[in-house]
Amino acid sequence: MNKVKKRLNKEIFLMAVLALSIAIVLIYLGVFKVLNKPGEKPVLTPQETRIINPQLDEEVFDELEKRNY
Amino acid sequence: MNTDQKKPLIWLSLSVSTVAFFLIVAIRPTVITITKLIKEIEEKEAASLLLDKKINSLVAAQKVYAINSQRLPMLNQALPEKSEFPWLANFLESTALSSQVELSSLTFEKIDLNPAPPVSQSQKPSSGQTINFSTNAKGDYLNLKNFVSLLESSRRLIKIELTGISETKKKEEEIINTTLQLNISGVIFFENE
Repeated sequence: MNKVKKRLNKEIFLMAVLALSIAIVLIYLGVFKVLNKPGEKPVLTPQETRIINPQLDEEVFDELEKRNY
Repeated sequence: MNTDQKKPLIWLSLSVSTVAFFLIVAIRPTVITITKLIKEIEEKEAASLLLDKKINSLVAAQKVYAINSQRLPMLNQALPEKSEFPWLANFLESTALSSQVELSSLTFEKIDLNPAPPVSQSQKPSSGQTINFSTNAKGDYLNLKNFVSLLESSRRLIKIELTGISETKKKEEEIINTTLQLNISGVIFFENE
């Protein structure tokens, strides 16, 4: 009887350790999933993120000024 | 193993089970929420940086615009939004007049002066429309040369694709009159927005 109890206790302990390991793995998977999931809605639209180039070729104006209208 | 030795194992099992239970039920959602929030903060910080860059470029563009605002109408003169056909015909005539050549013919390709607006984005015409033209001018060599040079120096975008000079002789009362005839064909651009 004692041997059966002893074995049962060991198995309960193993199951508890297994449950703890599963809990840690679940947390890890949850965090991994969140980090790798693409954002449902982008913070900014492509139009909002488009940066315009403020450079202007002023030689075009100089060239046009020389011409007759 | 006596009862005192067994008890710690049972208590340890209970403790580990309790920790596992709370890890799944309480800690996991909290950690996931914290991760989501950290990710959101990082995304918004990146967006904020992009917006800062955009604001800087807009400020720079505004300065450039302010400096060149007086000269911007020249762009419309060079590449108008519409064909500006009356101006075009008038320009060619007045150029011929000022360079003292005689325009014997002036031909434009068929153009739609009131084009229907595009129904959808896919039907939108590509920017940069053209009008093909061809003209014949008569005069002496220097005047014809001046005519071509005036056309080339026009602020309106005109591309002269082909020029040809031919000689015609007329015999009038024993005198042979020689006139030069210049054939020009080219393309005139407009934006057609």
